[in-house]
Amino acid sequence: MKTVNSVVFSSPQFALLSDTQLLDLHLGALEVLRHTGIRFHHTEALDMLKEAGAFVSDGNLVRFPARLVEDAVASPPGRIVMCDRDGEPAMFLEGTKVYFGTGSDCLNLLDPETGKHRKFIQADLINAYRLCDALPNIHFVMSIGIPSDAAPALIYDVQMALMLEHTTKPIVFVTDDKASCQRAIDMAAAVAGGYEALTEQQHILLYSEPSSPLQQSETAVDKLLLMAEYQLPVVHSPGPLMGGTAPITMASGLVMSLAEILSALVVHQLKCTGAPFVFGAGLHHMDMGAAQICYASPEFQLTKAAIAELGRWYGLPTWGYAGCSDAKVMDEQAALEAMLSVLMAKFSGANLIHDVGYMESGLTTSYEMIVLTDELVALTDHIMKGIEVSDDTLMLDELDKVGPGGHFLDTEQTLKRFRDFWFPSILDRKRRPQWLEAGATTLGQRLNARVKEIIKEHQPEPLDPDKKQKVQEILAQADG
Amino acid sequence: MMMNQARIEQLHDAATEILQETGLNVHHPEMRRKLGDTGAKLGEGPRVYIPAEIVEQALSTAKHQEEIVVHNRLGEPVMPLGPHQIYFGTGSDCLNFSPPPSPPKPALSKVEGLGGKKGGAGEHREFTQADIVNGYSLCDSLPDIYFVMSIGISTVLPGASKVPAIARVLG
Repeated sequence: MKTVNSVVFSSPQFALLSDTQLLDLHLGALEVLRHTGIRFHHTEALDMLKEAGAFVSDGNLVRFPARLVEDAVASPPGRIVMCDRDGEPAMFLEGTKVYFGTGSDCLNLLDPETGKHRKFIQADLINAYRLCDALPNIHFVMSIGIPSDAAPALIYDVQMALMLEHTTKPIVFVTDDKASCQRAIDMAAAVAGGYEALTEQQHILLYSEPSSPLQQSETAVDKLLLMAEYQLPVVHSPGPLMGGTAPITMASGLVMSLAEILSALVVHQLKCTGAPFVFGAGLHHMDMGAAQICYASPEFQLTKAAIAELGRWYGLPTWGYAGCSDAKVMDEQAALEAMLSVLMAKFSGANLIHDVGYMESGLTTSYEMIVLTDELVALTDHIMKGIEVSDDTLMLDELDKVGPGGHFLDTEQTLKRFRDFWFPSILDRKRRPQWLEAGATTLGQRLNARVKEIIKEHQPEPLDPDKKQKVQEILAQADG
Repeated sequence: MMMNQARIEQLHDAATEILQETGLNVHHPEMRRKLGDTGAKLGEGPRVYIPAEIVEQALSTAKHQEEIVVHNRLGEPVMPLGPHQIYFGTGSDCLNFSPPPSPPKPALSKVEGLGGKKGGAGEHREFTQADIVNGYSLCDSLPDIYFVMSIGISTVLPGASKVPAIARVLG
């Protein structure tokens, strides 16, 4: 029973779009770009696009020949390796490797000590970054919250300084305008040991958005071009609402998102050929009954998976969402939406999965949700391993040796392999008497206890004092 | 796709090898006799060794049957068990029941829920027949629960004889 080229492992896989559907969406986007066009509120971008052969009319409406788009798609790298603060490779954004991180800029948190729903302050962010630093399956951070105790003009600078100080993990950042983006780069470069070192380490990635439908704002393009100059990675991800800022069908929403992403990519690559670019979009819809953006709808699961497939089809690293919920507290709904989105993220194979911890359409963060997602990532890692079918694992000899009516409790193989099964750290599998004995806790209680324990105990590796000083100087200059 | 044809065949071949070489214990006299009549080798005690041809024969007979269509009590075809048809139903024979809390807990359990002595342990007791009747009635009303299994074993009904689960399901 020997076979050549036998596949012993095959991960569960998920394919949503056929080859012709992928092509139809791409061709639809090319037609939107050729015929309808995109408004660029950015003079330099308009000049570059005109020079490269795009058609500019009505002041700032840009229409794209297919060649321009095809050239742009061909030039960015197919993989990005993001390093941690020490310059060690931490995330390989390629193929179907999946990494998880938080979301950015929630107004509120669910206070783990009091259970209250309140505004973020800087101390909460420090706790949150330390929490993420400790969790093995949270691979990168975004800012999580907007600190209400920071000057409004300095919110993004404060977030960047705190992230650099309180976690070694890679950072995906959001910022206001070109100047604050430059300061974020300056801070990260100070920590990396210079601009060249930062470019080599790719420790930070910028998240920005087009202004749907079919517009690119001055500040977004400013930031995009700045990051391109430094050869630092960006994701320029539309976040439209189907039925609001996008047409009502998923197919049309995808086509519009593609047109917006590709038009940004053209400018980005014209500025600096080969600059790293991550492909992403968050195509939501509005629940017309609740008048609220859905972060956990079945449709959102589908559009995320479609975007991941499209990104891979273009040969680019990809962006996604999981560990987020429409629930208001860390309840059963939050848990099931976390599980659903994490599993779908794994099946879709998007590289950077963000928004872990988001509740209430991204208005609130729950630290318990971040800890739960960490656990669910570990759980789904074991699903993605699939089943090994090989002579080693078929164990016909063992079956024959034990034979009918025997048992496998004490065999050498059982002893050797029983730890290969996944063991949860938060989910409970105790027998009822032991569970009662241990306090009869619910998942929510155990998550809360774990959050408090980590915040109390975990100390991230301290940032070098000189580097911290430099970061603080940049922050002080911004204030001045 | 988790399995490809080659891996499915590899698993099937391994299973037939076990049936043929290791065999299995059959404690049912009629089944033993029938297997023997069909060409299986009868070993010591209950042991029976089933050659691959018999397995293949059985699989091909089963495959040639018409599609199984499960009907509801009204005689309507409700579950054709074809490929890619998925139906959901309950489990069978749980010993215990966690009744829904009454009065309902507030949605936000806040701090008293976090450190309270009782934790998540609500009422937990043996099934009564009334619970099981409620269970079937619940499943009857849910559009995406397509079939039922017995759910619970009820041993508790003071003053009444024990009714087999199947009678309650049909009732």
